[in-house]
Amino acid sequence: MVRIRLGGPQSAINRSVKELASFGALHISNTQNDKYFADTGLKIGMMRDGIIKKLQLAESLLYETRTAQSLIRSTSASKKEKTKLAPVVEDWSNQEKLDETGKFLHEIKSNAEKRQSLIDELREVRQYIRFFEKFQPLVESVKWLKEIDVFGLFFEKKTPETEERVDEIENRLNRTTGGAYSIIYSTDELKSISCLVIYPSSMRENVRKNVFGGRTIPLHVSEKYEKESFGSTLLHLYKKEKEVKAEMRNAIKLSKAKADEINKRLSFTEKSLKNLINELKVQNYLALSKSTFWITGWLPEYELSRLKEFSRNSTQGVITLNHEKPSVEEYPSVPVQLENNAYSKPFERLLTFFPPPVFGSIDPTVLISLTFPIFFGFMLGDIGYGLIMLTIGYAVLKADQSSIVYSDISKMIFTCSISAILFGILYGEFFGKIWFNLGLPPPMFDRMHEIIFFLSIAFILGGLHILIGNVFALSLSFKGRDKKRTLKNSADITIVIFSYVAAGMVVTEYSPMIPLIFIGIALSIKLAVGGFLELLETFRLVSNLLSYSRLMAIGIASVVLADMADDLIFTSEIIWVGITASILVHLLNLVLGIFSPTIHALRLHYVEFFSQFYQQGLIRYTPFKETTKT
Amino acid sequence: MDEWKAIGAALAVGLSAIGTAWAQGKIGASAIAAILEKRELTGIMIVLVAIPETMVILGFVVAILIMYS
Repeated sequence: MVRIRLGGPQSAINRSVKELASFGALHISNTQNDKYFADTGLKIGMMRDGIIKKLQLAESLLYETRTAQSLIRSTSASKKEKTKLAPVVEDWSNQEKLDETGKFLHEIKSNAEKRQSLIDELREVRQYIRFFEKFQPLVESVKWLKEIDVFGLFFEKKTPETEERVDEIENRLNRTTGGAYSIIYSTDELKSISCLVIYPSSMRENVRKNVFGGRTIPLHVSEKYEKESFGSTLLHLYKKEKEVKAEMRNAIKLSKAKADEINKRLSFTEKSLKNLINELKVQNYLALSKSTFWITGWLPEYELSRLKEFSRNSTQGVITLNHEKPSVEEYPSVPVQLENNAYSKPFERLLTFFPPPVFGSIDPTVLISLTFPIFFGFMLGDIGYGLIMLTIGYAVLKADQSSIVYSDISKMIFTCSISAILFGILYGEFFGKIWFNLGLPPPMFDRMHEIIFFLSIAFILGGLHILIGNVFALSLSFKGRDKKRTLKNSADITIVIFSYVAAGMVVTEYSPMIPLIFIGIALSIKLAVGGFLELLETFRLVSNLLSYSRLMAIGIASVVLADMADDLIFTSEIIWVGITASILVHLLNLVLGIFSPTIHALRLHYVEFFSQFYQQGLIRYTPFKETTKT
Repeated sequence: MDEWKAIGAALAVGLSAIGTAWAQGKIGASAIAAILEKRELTGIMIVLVAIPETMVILGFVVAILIMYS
């Protein structure tokens, strides 16, 4: 990365910022953080009022655009829309464009609200129809009695409160009519309460006043649907249902026809607003004099010649450019771009859970791309499970071929599954011990029966991993000319190596005296360099090494479960029950076998390995460019 | 003697499993709360939930050493 400073006349600000966005490789940083501009008298980070207002408007419009996108159904055509689009809002000084966008978004919102109100209305009408249809025959049988009033009650939910409410209404009816009433309950409703109230029409006023007290009855037919008689209300409801349905059909037809166009425009608007917001924010990073402006940022070294070419041609020579390499003090503020080969590139995703490594330190991606699959395969180690994982990897790849995320994930799955298959061949495991039942040659290494040896291999792998971490730490401290850390890291390496030598000598029944002397010297160096606390740090080193025993433990747990699944076939009295149970246990083991090794392999890298050397950076390289994807 | 070995191995795994379960329950609940606030923490939270599993794994290793050494 090189530090870039671009300067020019203020009249060229807008054009220069736009052209830099199309250049698309400069990570623009705040001039406030560049010492070059300190004490120069330039105005830094002074955002003009007009810009602040426009930024606020653009941000609120972006929010509304995203809301509108969630309201419009995405169509297959809109999903395929990936073409690069020129910004809708072409010029940030153009307020009309923003106002036009605001109107367009408002229209989408009100259409969505209208659709929702139609849905609500249809639901309400259907609820009334359900109620009226139930009591229609009864009403028909009593309607010839002119002096009878019929009233319906409907409570959607049957709860102690609604039952109490009905009781209260009945008590009031009893008092008001002197017992001259009848309530007929629907018997086929379990969850709701439906009933018909019949009373003499001469008491209508008193009933309405005393029984309901002027209050609206919950879910009683709304005034807008109520007609003179029960029957005419029902007919009116049928008519209303037809009308609302037709209106909804039209609305849906219209929205389907326009969905592609609207989606395209929304996606277009979102990209344009994002670009606009980025451009406006850059304004806050400028350093300004009365007539000039300065932009500062970072650029990968390989892009430098392109930028020089760009500053000569695109900005018509009005921009001056200078560049310099960052000083060591500046390293923490330099944005970091990870650069790895095609095999290791997908594994950069495992580092996204962490801040990037600080500029000038070590990017562990290449090593992770080797050790992660090894740890995974060492734990899972089964040909059958590995083959299923290969299929899963293929399915992920095919799910969205244009997606880089899917492609990276599938590549990682492929690598890990191949490792699991290779270790499966070594262990002689095919869905557990089916290997043996197929009459294949005995495995090269039977981990179930050589558990202690398996554990030793796990510790050796752990020791090598930690050792590599310590070597990285040593190289960093050496490069930074930090004598104390160099000594401390050398002592750590000595402790790790001679611990293993001592353990080996103990196993082979040799005296471990010499390696122990070296360990003693290393501990003394640590004590001298960092005091008692540094000595205590050695325990962390030991616990890190012990933690690698999980490689063995997860592996054994997986193989025991697989063996148990196989046993179910042979021990079950009914063969198909045994096979079904076995498949289910294998499925469970497969899920655990994929998740557990992934999480634990990650943990061994994040906690045990990274703690030896990893220096967290602050900023990821984010070039200022036009958004072409939503 | 074998009975005592078996009891020792069972205690090593059982007690460490209880400790792991307790810690994982607490971390899991906090992790869910953190993820609700900040969705991008999901990945690292899954790893954090796995941290206390070290206890039961070491318990398991100790049990194996008791049984097979």
